[in-house]
Amino acid sequence: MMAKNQRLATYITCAVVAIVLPLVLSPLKAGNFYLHILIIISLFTMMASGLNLLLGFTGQASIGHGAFYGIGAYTSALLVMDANFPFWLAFLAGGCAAGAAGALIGYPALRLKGISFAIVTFAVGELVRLIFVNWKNLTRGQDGVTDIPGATFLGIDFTAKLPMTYLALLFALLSLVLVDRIVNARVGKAFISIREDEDLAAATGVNVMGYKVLSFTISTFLAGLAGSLYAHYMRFINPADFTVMQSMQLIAMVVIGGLGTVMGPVVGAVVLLFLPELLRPIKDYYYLIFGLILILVMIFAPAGVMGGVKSLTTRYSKERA
Amino acid sequence: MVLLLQFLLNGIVRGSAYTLVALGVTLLFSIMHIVNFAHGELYMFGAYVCWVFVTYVTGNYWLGLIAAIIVVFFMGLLIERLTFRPLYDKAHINMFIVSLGLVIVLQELATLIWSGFAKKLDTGYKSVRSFGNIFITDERLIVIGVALLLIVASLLYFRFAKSGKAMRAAAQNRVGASMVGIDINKTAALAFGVGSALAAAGGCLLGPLFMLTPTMGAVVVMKSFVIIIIGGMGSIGGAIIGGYALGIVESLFEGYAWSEWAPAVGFVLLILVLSFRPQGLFGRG
Repeated sequence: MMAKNQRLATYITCAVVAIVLPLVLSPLKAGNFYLHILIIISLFTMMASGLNLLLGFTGQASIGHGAFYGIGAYTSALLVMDANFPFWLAFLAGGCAAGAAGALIGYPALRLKGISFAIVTFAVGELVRLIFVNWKNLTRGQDGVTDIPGATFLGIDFTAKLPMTYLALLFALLSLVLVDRIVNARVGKAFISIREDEDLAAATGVNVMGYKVLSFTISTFLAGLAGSLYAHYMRFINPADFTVMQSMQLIAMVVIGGLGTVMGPVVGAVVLLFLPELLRPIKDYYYLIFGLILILVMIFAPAGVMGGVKSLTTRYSKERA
Repeated sequence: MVLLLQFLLNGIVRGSAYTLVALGVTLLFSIMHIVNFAHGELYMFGAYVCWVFVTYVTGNYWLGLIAAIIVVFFMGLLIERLTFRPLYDKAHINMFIVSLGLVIVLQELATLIWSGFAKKLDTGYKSVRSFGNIFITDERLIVIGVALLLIVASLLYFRFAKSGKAMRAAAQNRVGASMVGIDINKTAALAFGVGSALAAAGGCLLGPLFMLTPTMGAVVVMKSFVIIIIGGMGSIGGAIIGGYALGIVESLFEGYAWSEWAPAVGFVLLILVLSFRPQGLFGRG
């Protein structure tokens, strides 16, 4: 869709912003706090762009994505602590465990359409949370896993804020590039055809089941990677970190940012994670406002922020032409 | 044996409320094609409205129950008009996301009004009866009786009342229904109100057995969706049998096996049923 040069320019702009932003923020008075927000935004960008691939491009709603985030976090933390895995291997394993769980669940669940599929993902989310709480020998139950070692890779210690910020930003960018490559390739066309009309897609020879499972697997894999980074950044996880509320927040990010736009999840993550800071004086009402925004966006601007930007720019370029 | 009967009875009590909520969800989801995740929040508001009436206004549980049903019925009408009606001709996913927003808004409203601390809804019917070796409080007998009454009443309503027939007609064919003069918008609004009222009744009935919290509806609505998917979409009978069955299975599981896993029973059943019979137990394929 985009010209090759234009795409390269976008990639470079994003990379430059990602390199410069932490350097600008860290000397500020509340620098560490800003870096913390930046890290969390990056992790949510990874998850939200994965969910966007599933919800925005393939048209399948998952309300249990928090569970896969949790699977990644627990797998990675426990492998490092109980099996002496190096961080990078545990990180990959976290992603793969979440992706494998996604494929395993997706295969029966994606036979269902629309809301039934969403309910199953919710059920899976609750089951996984109950496993975190009740399988005490493995997961340490409600107390959670404490003293998780920080991330180290190639001799670099990512425990300090600034290196960790770069690590998180790197993977957030890679996720965006991955989603961008996918949706502009043949696979992406198949995903979109399923979103638009499943029966028509099947009739034109698209392997609907295969592509749906693929989309779900990639999306849960990204959630797992984000979970692993979260575990080694916070160095403490417990079942309360991976609830339905988190899955809802992810959906809100994708929707407010703009369903089916590559940059939407970034915008959504920034808006929803900065909003609490802006609304701090009225923080009792934060969730109320967050819910209202979700409703209003869906009724009055279902294309979200990036959808709005897109229609503005196409109008502009048409006028110019 | 005595223990088994006791567990069964507890299961029927729990299943009664599940069935009431699931009936409302069936009405909206399978029949009117409205996806409302906030149905559980109407169940929660029902319980709280009843609590307000019992604590501050009358002190009488029955008046509280009736007030809750009326208040939540109108709440349902309002919610339908403001948030769902603009979306009927849009993709399903939009309605679904709006209802997630509603879940948050209604839970937060309840927290702001009544605080997050658990409240106790007191019916005043605490005395215990015994049938042989099985014991039951009056409170629980009321749950079973009132639920049965409301279930039968709604079945009769769908079958014989003019507006109930209109709902079934709209479910079968929207265009056809509007051709013969059925106002689809009005019918959908009424269905929303009736479903909400049933949820409120469920909240008033089950509320006294547990504590009231702003999040009490979230699990119940998920269980209702589980029930109607297991029972088979669009099957009213399936929703009723599924509701009681889930209540009983959960209660047996809690009694005999590991109680910490009881909340998972419905979800495991759901995944099993869908793997082997995707159309549900009583649904047509």
